[in-house]
Amino acid sequence: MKLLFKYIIYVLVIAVLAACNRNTDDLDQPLPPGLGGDTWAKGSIDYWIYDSLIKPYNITTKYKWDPWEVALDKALTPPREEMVIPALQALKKIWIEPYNEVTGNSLFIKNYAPKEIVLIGSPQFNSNGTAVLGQAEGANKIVLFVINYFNKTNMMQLRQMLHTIQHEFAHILHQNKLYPVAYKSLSTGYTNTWFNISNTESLNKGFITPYAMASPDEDFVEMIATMLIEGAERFNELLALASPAAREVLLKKQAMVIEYYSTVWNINFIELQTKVQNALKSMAVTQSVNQVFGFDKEYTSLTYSSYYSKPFNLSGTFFKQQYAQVQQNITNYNNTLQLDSLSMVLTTASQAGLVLYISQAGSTFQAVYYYNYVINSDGSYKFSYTGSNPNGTLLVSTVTPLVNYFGSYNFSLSWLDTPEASIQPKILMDSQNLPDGKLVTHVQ
Amino acid sequence: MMKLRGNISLWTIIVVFTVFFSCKKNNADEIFAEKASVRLQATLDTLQKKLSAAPGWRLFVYPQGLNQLGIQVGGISYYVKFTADNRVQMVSDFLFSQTNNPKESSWRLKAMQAPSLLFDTYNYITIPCDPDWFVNQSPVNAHGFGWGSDYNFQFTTVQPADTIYLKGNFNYSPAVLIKASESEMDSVFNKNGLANIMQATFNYEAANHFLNFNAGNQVVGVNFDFNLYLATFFYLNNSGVLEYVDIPYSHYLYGVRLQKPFSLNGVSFQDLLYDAAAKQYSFKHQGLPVFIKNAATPVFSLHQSLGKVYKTIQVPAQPPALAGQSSLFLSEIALVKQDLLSIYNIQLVQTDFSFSADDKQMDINFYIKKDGDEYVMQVNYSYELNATGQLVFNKIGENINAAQAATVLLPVTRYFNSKAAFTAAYFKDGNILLGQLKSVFYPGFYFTGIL
Repeated sequence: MKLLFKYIIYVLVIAVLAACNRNTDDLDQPLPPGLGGDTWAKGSIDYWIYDSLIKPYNITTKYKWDPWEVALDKALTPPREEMVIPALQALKKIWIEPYNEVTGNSLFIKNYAPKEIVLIGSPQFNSNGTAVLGQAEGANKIVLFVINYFNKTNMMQLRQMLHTIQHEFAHILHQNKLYPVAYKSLSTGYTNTWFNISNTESLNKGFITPYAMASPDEDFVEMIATMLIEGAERFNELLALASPAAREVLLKKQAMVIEYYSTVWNINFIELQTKVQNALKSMAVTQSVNQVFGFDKEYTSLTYSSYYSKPFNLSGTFFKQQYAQVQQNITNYNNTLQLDSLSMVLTTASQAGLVLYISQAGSTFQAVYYYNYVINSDGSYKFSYTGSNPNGTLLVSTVTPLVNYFGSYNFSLSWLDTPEASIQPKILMDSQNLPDGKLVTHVQ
Repeated sequence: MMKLRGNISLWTIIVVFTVFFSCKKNNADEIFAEKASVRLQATLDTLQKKLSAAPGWRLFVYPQGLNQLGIQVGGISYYVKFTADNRVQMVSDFLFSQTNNPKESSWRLKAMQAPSLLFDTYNYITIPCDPDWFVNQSPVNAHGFGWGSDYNFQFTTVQPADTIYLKGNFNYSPAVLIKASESEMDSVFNKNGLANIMQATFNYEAANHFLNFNAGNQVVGVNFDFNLYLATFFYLNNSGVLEYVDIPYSHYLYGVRLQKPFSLNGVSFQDLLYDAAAKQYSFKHQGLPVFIKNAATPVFSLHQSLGKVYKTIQVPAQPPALAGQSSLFLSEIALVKQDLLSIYNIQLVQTDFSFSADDKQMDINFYIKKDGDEYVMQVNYSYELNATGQLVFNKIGENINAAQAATVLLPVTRYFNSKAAFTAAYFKDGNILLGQLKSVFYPGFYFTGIL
């Protein structure tokens, strides 16, 4: 039996070796096209990416369409070429350089930054109507959407894009080294339907944004992105708006984020936050109010809201009295109604709408009061009331103080906080000849 | 026994060796002279040279992505000029604003499932694929769809030729590249050639409401849908029933190209050519031009044409009211408008009466706007044509938006609800052709809309 077994083994070994005997195998076959990466005639964008991201940080950027980099079942577009370098410049200045500065060199970014950034021109829409703005995959790749809407002179859009990258980079950090498990039990109420939650509602539940309610991981990175991009002043403003119990939770989350950066990454978060803020402000282009505000310009609406406490506090006494009076009148009219905020929106070159946002049992309604307007030779605005929408008509007797306020004066506009001074730019509406009637607004 | 076992083992060795050595492939025959990777690279190189060597190309794309939603859209044309260093310039007939301002971006060929042509950064060809409705203004009226078009394609025939067939890699839109001449490219890129032909077609249709030609002994009507880029050809069959076919069309310098030929009674054509002197379109038949002429009076009745040639009667909500509307209709629609505003804070933008002859269904679509977002309230009716050509409606359903506000919509919808007969007729207001529906049971209720 042993001998037979030996024979079988010999036979098998010889047969296998003989079968592998292929004298004609050609080892220097050309690779299939594209296997080593796509090639094309390089242009200025490619050279910029090489010099600014690949060479110093080993981060490559894909801006030319490659369907395998994104969801195969979603309608998406590549970016506009003219948006690529400005968007990457902003990203480098506001995301990469502050990390370099607080860590003293570029090693942190070299080690932990994703090796590939994919730029997509359009949003990626979900079936529930929400849009994806960014995605991080396995610490290696970040996909940034809506590059076609990038506008470095619009501070709101700039903040939105940088929020996305900070959010996604924070995912990579915690995927490398997890944040304290205790963070996950600070809040309850995580939900897949976070998109049905308002900003104020999420704040009062102890979440910094509605998206933070999606999961503990999203909560953690939303805290980081908000603290870095909105800045300390705005973060404190948001804390002040939250209920006392929610504020306590948010403060604990804030402390855990700072501690995480310090102990895990040896990074002073506050210093990082300051540098990010300074970088954001430095992107702003000096422009007068009339260059950026107006119909068909950068900003078309002026908003006064308790969600932004600085405008609320710095406005003149007379205006605040009119606003408070209308708030009271509306509540007297129906005690389930609450005036939340107002916006003066320029809808055409000569027409505007004063929109009062009124909440009732979780829903928000708009009472709109229409005005014609002219821009005087000194640049001031004169509004003339013309009518209202049905909601506005219903409440017209309660809102007379505000409707008259906007229709009675010439308003000159000036920066209170320029985009260079604040990432939350604000415009002062000076009701001429009425010293305490000034109105401070947030621009949108 | 041991000896026998030894002999069996020896035979086994011989047999196994024979079998395995017989599999030895020292000189395997190859079907092709070159390896697949070499042939693929050669194909890409040849195509790259072919595309960039030409003065330019007409590119006709026929989007397919909305078919699954039951929406057929027509053709979109581009003039594209490729360079060897992966740059491309293009104009398009998708919008007037894209016809005369060549825009530059990049392109490349890539070996995907098949050799593919990628317009790999944003250009006019990307706009109908953009999922943002504010960018694409898609007929779906929602984000996420665009026009169901494509901007990267695989070559379905890889042999270089002056006509190259393509298929979209995402929405599978068929497309074709046809080599253009130097002078054609110059006319389009530098002399408003594409804009001029689009304007000519638009003016032609606006001035001639009853376009037709003869195919054998049959009169064939022609209608262009400038919103969906579809041309409709229609004629009476032997049973007196109106037959119709929608064919995607798009523009090129010399006229209009159909996605596929229209053929009837031995007449067949794919290109409609514009004669600028005669201000008429024609096609070639047996080497001679056949002009598409206008009839002074309707060639086919409106009740036959609804749902086939004219799919929608559109009634704008904003004043002034169209001519040919009764005071009863105006007061009823005003009531709907007012109640939508006062009860729901909803603005009525337009009311469409949309017909599908294939499904024998008419939908009243109340297009509404709330807080800047647009929605539709839809009430569904079946309909039949009776012996006298009247349309007889019966309500069969409504969408959830319409159900929420059913009472508010009632002043208009109740006239159609149950065995409601209407007559349909053309109504001319100056040079504008309208369609008019008139209730048989309530003669005071009639209205017109844009066809």
